[in-house]
Amino acid sequence: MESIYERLARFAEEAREVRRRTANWEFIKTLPPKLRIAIEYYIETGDFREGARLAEMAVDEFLYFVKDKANVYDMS
Amino acid sequence: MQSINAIMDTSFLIDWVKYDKRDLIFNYYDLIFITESVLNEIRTETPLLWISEGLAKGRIKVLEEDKEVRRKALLIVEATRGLPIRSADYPEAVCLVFGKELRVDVLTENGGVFAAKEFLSEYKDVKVYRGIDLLYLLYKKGLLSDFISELKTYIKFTKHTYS
Repeated sequence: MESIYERLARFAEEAREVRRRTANWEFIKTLPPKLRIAIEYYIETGDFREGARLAEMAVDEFLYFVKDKANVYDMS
Repeated sequence: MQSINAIMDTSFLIDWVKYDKRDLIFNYYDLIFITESVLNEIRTETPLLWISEGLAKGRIKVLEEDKEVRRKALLIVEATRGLPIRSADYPEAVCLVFGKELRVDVLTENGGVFAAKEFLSEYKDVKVYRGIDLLYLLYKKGLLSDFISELKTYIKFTKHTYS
């Protein structure tokens, strides 16, 4: 029987895989380091607030850029 | 008939406003609450326009966070910090606190909020919905004719999928 912790960990990994798989890595690689690293951080962690902080963008600006330009899908 | 209200966090708002049938939400909820901390995170035109139109029509209301709400929200953040999933951030935690205090539905895509519901018994009865759940509620109310088709459309617009 899967525990709640195991279920949460499995879900977090599935969401990370979705972000990795859908991301347009060719585009991401062309970005300036500050933005590229912020997006890579978001893809690995799902933490859009820290990603936005790293990119020095507003939260919605960052998420729309990640989704619309870098094609990153999220999962919940 | 009792009115149904909801509170919406940043993660939900950012996606929902990209959906072409976003205003259907007002056919399900009488009033949508947005907190100050969520409003402070929004800078782009689409969500700001949607919020301002909702405010003007009296369908959206901004909630101020008092000291007690802030204290409870920080406890939720702390409680979810050690979990193997992204913790509930402060703005989402505030929504969960208001969800309980005001007895309104919480609209979020933040997994930490769902985890908080499981681990903090005082919040277990708060109704928390994701975009997919709200689409289903709209479908059940007869506001959408085809749930699967609408879900695909929603995913296409929002680039948000579901497990």
